[in-house]
Amino acid sequence: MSNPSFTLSPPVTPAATPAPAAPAAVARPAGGIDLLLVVGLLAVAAAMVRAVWFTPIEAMQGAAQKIFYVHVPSAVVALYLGLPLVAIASGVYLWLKDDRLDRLAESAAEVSLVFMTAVLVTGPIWGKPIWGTWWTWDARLTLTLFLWFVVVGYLVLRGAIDDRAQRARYSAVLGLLAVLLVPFIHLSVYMFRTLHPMPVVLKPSAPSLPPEMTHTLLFAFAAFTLLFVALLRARLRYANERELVALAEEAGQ
Amino acid sequence: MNGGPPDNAAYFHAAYVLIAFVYGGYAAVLLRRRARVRQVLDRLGAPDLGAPSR
Repeated sequence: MSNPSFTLSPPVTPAATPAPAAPAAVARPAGGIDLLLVVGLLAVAAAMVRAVWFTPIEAMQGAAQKIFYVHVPSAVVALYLGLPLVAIASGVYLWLKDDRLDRLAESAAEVSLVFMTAVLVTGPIWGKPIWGTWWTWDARLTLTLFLWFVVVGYLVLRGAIDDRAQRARYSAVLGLLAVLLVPFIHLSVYMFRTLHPMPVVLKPSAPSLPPEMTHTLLFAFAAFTLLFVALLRARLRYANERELVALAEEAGQ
Repeated sequence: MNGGPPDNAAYFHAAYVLIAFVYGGYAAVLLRRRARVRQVLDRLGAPDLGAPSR
């Protein structure tokens, strides 16, 4: 079934003056309940229920280790899915100058920031009972906090520039540079002395977890990935609709 | 010390509540922002592709 699409054309300019670069047409997405978002939130809730009631308590760390099942998937989705998506969309935008890629990069950056916020909130709560401190300025924690500020800066930069093409170009460059921190964050536990533990899953050898914990972690990975996709889709729809309003306002001036 | 795991469940309870607040709060903010921009589009006369057909 083909959906009809509503588009607003860019403002018409007199033939005597050179026409500005026309923004790509934006279709108005469908409204109603966002079922994917509901499923994503329910999946994360199910992962948390599984972690709380159907996963054994770790003998050395106690129940606080269950923070692992929300902290690690949030970090993996933000650092290895969200921010690379920002970089890819930004890089391809610089090549093709397609506004849809700019909106994809913006949306992925904002959703990734939420996931990184979850990482930075849960990390200290896990660190306090295990390390005896809420925070330590070691390489991994500091670099992750620094990346969080860079992504905040990316979004602030976007809000500070009115010209559409200039905003897209500047933020694409920043989006590409931000992702360069990700490999340093991943390798920081090998390169520096740090309290943060080594990877137990994303490493060359097999995961060093009992099967029950591995299954819960894999379930959580799937749930958080689904939530990321759902939030990204909702954010992208919002960006498209906001663009329609901006085009309509420009046409009305 | 009795040799069992330490009793620190309050930390993970707090973390899970905060996680629900972060993700649920962002989803709510996103839906509210979208509803607001859709109201503007409705005023502009853009057809809602999600509205039930008659």
